[in-house]
Amino acid sequence: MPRFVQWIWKVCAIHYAIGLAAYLHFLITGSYRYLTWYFLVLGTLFFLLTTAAEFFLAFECRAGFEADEPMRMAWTFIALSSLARFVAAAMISLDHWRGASIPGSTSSVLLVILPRGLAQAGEVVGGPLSMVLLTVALSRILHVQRKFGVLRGLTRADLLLIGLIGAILLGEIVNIVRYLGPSYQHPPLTEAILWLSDPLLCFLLVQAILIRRSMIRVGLGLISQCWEMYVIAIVTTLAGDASIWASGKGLLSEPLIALSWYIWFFSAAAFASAPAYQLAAMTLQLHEGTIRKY
Amino acid sequence: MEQRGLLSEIDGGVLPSLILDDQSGDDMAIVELSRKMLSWSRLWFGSSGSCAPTEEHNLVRERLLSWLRLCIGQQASDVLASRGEDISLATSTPLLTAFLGRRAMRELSRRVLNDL
Repeated sequence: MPRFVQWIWKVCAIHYAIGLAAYLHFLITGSYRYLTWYFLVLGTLFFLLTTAAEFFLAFECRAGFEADEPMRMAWTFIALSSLARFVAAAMISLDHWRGASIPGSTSSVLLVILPRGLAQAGEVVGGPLSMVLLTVALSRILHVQRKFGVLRGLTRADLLLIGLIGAILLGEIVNIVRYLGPSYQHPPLTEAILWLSDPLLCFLLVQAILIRRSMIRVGLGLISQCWEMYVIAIVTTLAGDASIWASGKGLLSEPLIALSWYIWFFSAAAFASAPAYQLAAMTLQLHEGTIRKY
Repeated sequence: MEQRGLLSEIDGGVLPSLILDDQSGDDMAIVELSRKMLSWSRLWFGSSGSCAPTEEHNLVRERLLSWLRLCIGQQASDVLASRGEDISLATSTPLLTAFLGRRAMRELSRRVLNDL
């Protein structure tokens, strides 16, 4: 495993260990005290750290390609997508500190200088905007894979899954059209943009399935592992989204709702380790037992 | 004579065969250059059906396969083989360049051809 990837997962494991202690405290006492502290302070730091690492690594990958190489464009969009997630994490955390009015602290200053609706704007930047950028990048990757004969056709299971995703998408579109109709109040712009999250995630999943099929064909090298990490990140994001939907519908118990929040850290770590694999391949890092003398 | 002296002064190690008399020196230099060009092109394009693979060919192939496995995947060589091509720098360069970039590929080629 490349050095950067090891660091990312070590930090993630430590973060989860602390989170487990907070969760156990919540299960035993029923108090949200440590759980809230864990998600608001350590959780925010973790998101800022992983998205910053992802942006740095993706930018380094981009720099490894020359201007006329097709993968440079892909890595430019991946770097922008990670930057969008970093900005979103910063905006959402700032909005929290803006709202937390502790007497005598600097948060009262934040209340004055920071605009309202910062969290929702952050959700748009880290959600649909970041997803659009990633979609463009993955389209480029698929184009390169097709060009070199690496891209593999879909199996029946894939087609079935894509059909299912298509049906969900159609349902979403019907809902969006219904909400925009005369019987409903016009939603704020940010809310309307956020409705695009699920369709975009579904589209990303289809792209991820295609990329994963190709990876199975060539085996798990460093580059393949990079795209495998994006697949894992997209699938876990989708799982996180589904858990939010299930929580909203009252399908999950209180302990399960709290447990479902932890999935976002795994997704963030997977997003960050993807460019780390690519960079390891580009810098031709040697690994013990793989290449002995050259 | 003056030119010969200058050439040997520039790099005696690179152009040893040029320090001969004019006519035979030119011929030998061309022969030597052709031999080197042929040797490098064989290394670059891999062994063909007309000539048996040498130890150097095998070494280049083995090194390339190691890098392909590490960077792309275990079955990367199968992808190239499915297109009816043997593993050589010429056949694997487009795939590796696409996913690693030209800079990384230059370094990889240097490592593959190192000591040969």
